[in-house]
Amino acid sequence: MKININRRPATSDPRPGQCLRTFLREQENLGVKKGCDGGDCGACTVHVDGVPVHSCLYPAVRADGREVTTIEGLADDDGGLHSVQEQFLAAQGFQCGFCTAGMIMTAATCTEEQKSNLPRNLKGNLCRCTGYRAIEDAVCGVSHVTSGGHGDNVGAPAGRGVVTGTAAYTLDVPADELPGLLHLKLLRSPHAHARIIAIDTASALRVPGVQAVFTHEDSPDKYYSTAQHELHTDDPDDTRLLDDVVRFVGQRVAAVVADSVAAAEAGVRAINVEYEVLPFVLSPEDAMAPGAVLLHGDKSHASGIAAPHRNVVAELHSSIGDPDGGLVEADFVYENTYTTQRVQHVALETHASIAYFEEGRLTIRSSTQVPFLTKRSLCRLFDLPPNEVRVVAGRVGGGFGGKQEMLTEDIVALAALRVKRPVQLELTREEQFTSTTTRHPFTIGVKAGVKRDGTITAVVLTVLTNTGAYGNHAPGVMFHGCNESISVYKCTNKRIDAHAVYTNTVPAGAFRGYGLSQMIFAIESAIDELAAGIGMDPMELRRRNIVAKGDPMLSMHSEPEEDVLYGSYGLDQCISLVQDALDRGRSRDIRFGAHDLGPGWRIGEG
Amino acid sequence: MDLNTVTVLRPTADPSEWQPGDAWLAGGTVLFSYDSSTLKRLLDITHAGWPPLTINERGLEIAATCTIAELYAFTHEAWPAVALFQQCADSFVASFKIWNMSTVGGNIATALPAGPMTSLTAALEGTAVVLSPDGSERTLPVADLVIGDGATSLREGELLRAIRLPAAALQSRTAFRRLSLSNLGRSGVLLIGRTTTLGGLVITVTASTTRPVQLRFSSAPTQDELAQSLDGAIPTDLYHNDIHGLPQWRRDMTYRLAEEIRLELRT
Repeated sequence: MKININRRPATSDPRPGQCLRTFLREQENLGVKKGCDGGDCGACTVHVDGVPVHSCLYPAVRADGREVTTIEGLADDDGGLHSVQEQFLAAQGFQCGFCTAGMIMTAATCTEEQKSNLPRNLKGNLCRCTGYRAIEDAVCGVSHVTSGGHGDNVGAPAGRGVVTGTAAYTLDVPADELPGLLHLKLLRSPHAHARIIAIDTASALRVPGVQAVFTHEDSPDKYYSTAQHELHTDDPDDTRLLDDVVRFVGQRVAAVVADSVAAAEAGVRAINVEYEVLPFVLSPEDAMAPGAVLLHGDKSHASGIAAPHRNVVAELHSSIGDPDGGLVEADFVYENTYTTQRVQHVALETHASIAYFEEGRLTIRSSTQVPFLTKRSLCRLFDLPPNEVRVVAGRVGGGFGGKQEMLTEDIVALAALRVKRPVQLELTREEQFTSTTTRHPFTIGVKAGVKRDGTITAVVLTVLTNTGAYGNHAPGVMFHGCNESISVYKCTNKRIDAHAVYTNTVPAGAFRGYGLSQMIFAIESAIDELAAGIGMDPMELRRRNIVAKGDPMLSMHSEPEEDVLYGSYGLDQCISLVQDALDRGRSRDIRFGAHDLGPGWRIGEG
Repeated sequence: MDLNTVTVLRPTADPSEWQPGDAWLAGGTVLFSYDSSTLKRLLDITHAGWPPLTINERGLEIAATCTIAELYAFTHEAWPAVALFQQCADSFVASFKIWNMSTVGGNIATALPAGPMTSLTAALEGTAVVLSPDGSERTLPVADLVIGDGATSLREGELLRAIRLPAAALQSRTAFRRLSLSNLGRSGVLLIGRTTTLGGLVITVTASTTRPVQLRFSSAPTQDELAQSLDGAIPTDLYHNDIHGLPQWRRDMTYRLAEEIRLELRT
């Protein structure tokens, strides 16, 4: 077989079922990224005989006799940059940069006609950081970077590495730096709730290439939280590295470590597990009903779980002022229940880590937002002194809160400590959805009153958050969501009853906004309804009720939090900006005759 | 993604070689987009050397291995219906880069309700040429090959060889309508109309239904006749239900777009 990669012959032949993406990475072309591994995100775009393709779908064997070009070989061999690489630098058309190689490889083939319709011609390239405006500028040759003096637009220091595909993300480590690297794959629960009666690993251990299999019997007998905070007591200790009870479909059951990913997968398929299937609950309402099956009923208050016997991981009951009196005093009262759905972060780089030994010290290279906290947690879990563990992050391909967790580091650490060899775990895109974390789904009851003069007289909240099978970030998300969303309103009559509840679903965790986006959706929807109820412009109602600079910000307590201070203030400007934008939209609708589409259409704005 | 259970990639287009655990490999854009723990061999039909597009006296033969990019680039002045080739290719939710690999046959055999090559070839009275493991060959309308969401009437080991489009259909006037819930998203409703030489009308409904549905009128129908024909041809449970559109919406839009097509092709 003769495959040329960037004008040089490949040093080995691909396997029959191998896609070009992994073959290129094995050939040390680490600029070729895995985003979705299913042909949708374009992070793996390369050229085959000059034609752009998604290398995750391209059968590697088919590259025989062809010239493959990756981001590393796009420019001439003289050390300079391709013009599109220059353009991405000039426009700073990237944020995390994980999608950038694919963007550049695609844009480099675009004709002028294709550039005139980028939504269509770049739809096969996903940027999760949502830098599309800068990407469009890059593709079209708009420059933003200036350098020299104070106030200039200085380009990101990592820019050149990003546009050349040489910036090293988590798994972009040359093979010769990790001799003897093993790969880890996880057997995951097919049941929402089950007790493991027996696990037979003998067949798995006989699979050629399998080096070890780990089950709950190998797990440290300790509970911890995958959530990472400065204070580990912020989160309940409800999780075991490998447990003999599984509480959601997708939870780890066993880990197989093998010479190759394929052997590890075969090992996973060869494990036999006997489960005792248990009753399960999927909604917070059902989970709080009397007699509901308990997810963590075996744990005590010492775990940090508020009420293990009610499936409640955290709760909040507060009242300031006179909420009931405020509702009586109101000229208009609005009440509704808002629900928000489960969403996943979809960082383009999936969770991944490599455990190895550096001068004898356990070192974990991970796609993480919290290397230092994870190091601390690994020390707690494995009873290791701080100087015996190191956690490092390369460039991280997006996090969005999803990587404020320890979801891969613990299992590769266990495996490496046992087999004394480097161990790598890379989650698939499917595992990201089934087995990592999500934003907490909220059910938010709002009852609020307003006087005709626009004074909000009371806000009463009843909140249920679905934390899934484990309570990582559950208390923090609930408290922050409830607090900051209403403390920006001056009204002093406020009541909150909130519960964060376990269910047999994929765990929720930290996600940009940390509970605020869910709560603000409900609160601000209700504010609009209050305005409608008294016939006032909703922005005017906000202006009359928001805190002014220096006002105490109150939600749960009648005294402000000691550590919350005004550093700057721009709430009034925010409201004006939104109002201006809405006004512009309305006048544009009028200009195009779209303001009145007839009786069949209802128009919302926000 | 890697198909780690595959141990053999064999260039062949001979169905007599097919055995359980095999999959026919054309562009690979579907096979390699899903994990598999059962596939053992990939039988690569792209080495067969089938010419992608062949014009003959009966019309146009599209090889199963013709890529979407090749189809997109095809032009023919005497056949106005060729305009549908680009309209249908543009209906793919996938990137133009995927068109460089994906094949017409692969899209039809995948049998997604929104498969635009099914829409195209069914609407143009395409006949599928199917090779069987026993060495025989059979033909059937594309509209009968795709029988449900992800389901075809292909039997184990059978191989889709080509689609034949008759010249009469390629010469007809056509109207194209498509809707999706998001701009450039997956088709929720895709209807194609064409006039017949005797003044009739054929409307092919895809994407909104789990399999292609064709309405045939020997002369131009009235609005009521069209609506009644839809009533009879599409029972409620034939409307597709997934994240890309509710059945009720698909139904309403099917009636709306069918009426638009009727009006466009009336004169």
